[in-house]
Amino acid sequence: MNQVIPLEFARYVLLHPDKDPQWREHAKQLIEWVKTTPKWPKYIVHGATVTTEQGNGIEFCCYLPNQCCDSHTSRLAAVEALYFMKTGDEAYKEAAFRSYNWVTYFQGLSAKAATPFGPQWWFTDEFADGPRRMMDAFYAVPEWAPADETHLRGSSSIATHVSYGKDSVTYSTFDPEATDVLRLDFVPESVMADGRALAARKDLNAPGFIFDASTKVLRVRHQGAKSVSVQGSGEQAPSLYVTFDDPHLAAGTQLERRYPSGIIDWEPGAWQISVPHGKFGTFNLSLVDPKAETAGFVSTRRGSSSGSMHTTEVRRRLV
Amino acid sequence: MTVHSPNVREVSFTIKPGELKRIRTGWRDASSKVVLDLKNGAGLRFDNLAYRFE
Repeated sequence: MNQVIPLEFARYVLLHPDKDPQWREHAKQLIEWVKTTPKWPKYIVHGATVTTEQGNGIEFCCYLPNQCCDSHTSRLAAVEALYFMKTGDEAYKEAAFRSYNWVTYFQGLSAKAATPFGPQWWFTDEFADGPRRMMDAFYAVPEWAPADETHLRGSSSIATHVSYGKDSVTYSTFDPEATDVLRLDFVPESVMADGRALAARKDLNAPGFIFDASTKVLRVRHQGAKSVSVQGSGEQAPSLYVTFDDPHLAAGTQLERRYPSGIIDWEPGAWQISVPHGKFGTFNLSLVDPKAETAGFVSTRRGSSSGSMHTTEVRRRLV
Repeated sequence: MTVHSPNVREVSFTIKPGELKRIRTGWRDASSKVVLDLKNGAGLRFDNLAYRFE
C-alpha cells in the first residue's frame, strides 16, 4: 500500500469538489489514514510529519523517514494546505507549514536529498513531485510566497500565459471561467478581463476581485474572458539575476571585463567561471586566486540616474 | 566575508566549510561598486547574484 494514490485522490477532490459531494469527508479521512497507517513508518520532528512512500507493515520503501522522501512529505503537506484553503481549518495549515519546512531541507541539490549525487537517482524528489507540491502551498496559502515579488500563484483553470512588468501582471487561462490567486508587490488600481473592468467585491460569488491590502493577495474571478490584466502602483523594480550560465562561458574562463554585457564589470584577473560542483548544480563564480583577500566588481549600467544597482543577494558556498 | 561599497553600510558573513548559504546585503541605496574582503576564501563559490537597478 502506498500514500501516493490516496493523497492524489484527496488532492483531486479538493481541487474539483463538484466531482465528489463528500469531498470534505473523503479528503480528511485520506489524510488521516496516510498519517496513521501502520503500513510504513512516519517520523515527527518539530511537529512536522514526515512520511515515506509505501509499505506492507513489514517492509517499506525507501529509506527511514528523515532520510528521504521529501516529495511524499511535500504531497502530504500540499493536501493539508489545500484542505485548509477549502475549509479554513487552521490545524491543517499549521501541519502543512511544518511539513513543508522539513521538505525545504531536501529540495534542489541539498546534501541530505537523494540527488544524482546520492545512492539513488530520485530526481522526482528534488526536481518534480517535490517542488510541484510545494507550489501548491503558494496557491493554497499565498501569503507564504515572497512578499516582495509578484506572481500568479494558481488558478482553478490552467494558466497559458503570464507576463510580469513593473506595477503590472497580465495572464491568460485556458478556460474562460476561472478563479485565480496572485500575490502582488504592488497595489492594484484596475483589474481587467478581456478589456472589461472587474469590480472589487467582498466575495467571489460573481465575477470581480478581492484584494487583501495586508497580505497583498489578489483573488480574481472572471467569466467569459480568458485574459486578465492587473495594473497598479508602488512596486519596486524587479530583481534581476546573474546566473553565470547565460551567456555560457567555458569553465575556467576568467572574467576580464563585462559579463553579462552591459551589466557588471568584473575586476580583471580576480574572477572565473567554475563548473557545477557540490551543492551548486549549475555554472558559478569563483576566485582565480584562492588566497585572494579582496575582489570586486562594478555596475556598468548606462542611462540610469546614477549608473548603479542594489546588490541584494548572493548565494555562496565555501567548500 | 565582508561586502562593502561606498555610501552604504558594510555587511559581514561567516560561512562554514561546505555550507550553502543565501546572503542578503539588505542594501536599499544604490551603489555602483562592490568589494568583497575575504578571510580563508579558498574554495569559495558564488551563484545567482541578484540586484535591482535604481
